[in-house]
Amino acid sequence: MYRGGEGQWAYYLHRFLGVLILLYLLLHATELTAPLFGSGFAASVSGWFRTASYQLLRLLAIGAIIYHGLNGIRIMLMDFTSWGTRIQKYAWYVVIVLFLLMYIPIVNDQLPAILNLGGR
Amino acid sequence: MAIKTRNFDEARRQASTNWELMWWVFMRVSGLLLVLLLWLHIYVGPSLISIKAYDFTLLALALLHGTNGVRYVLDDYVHNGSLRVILKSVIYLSVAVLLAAGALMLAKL
Repeated sequence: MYRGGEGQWAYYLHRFLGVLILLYLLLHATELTAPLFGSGFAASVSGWFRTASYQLLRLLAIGAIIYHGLNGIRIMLMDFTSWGTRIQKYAWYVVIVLFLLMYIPIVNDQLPAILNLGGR
Repeated sequence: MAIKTRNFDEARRQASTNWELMWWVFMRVSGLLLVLLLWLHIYVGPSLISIKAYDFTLLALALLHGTNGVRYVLDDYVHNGSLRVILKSVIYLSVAVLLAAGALMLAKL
């Protein structure tokens, strides 16, 4: 459909990050509802949710959500306006720039604390 | 089969069933709502946790949007029929359990 151009990359990234977001959401919902599955379960998983690996996944998921949301708006412009498809390539670069503007401050704010957790 | 199209009229022509067209529309509507709700969730975050209707709407829309998205992905890339059924069942079951757990958790708060 996009024949290997920018739109093709936008599409693959949208799908791949969408799956990543759902996997994170399943873990995040488990984190918040853990007490319902028994106090033993809650106690055994609560430590893992504070590890650097889960916090890193959380930071990645925030980035994935920002990209997926911005690109979702690009998709809706293509679906619901007469001009969206004509500008989709240009719109993808706008998505990338907005993504960087929104995500870099968050990484800058949160990554140091995660790295301080070390290998734990 | 996921609808691959660029507007509602095309989607209506391509949709194999009304159900499939309904999901196509749902992905756009829920996607737009999720952009707004998640913006609050990420930037304002914990202060909204006490608003139960907000939390449940966010959880339900995100789980349904994600489940349907993964359904498109599995339909497109997993060609082994029984593996596809197994993967879908695992995802649907986890989503159902977590949606119920989320509702219960919010009811108990």
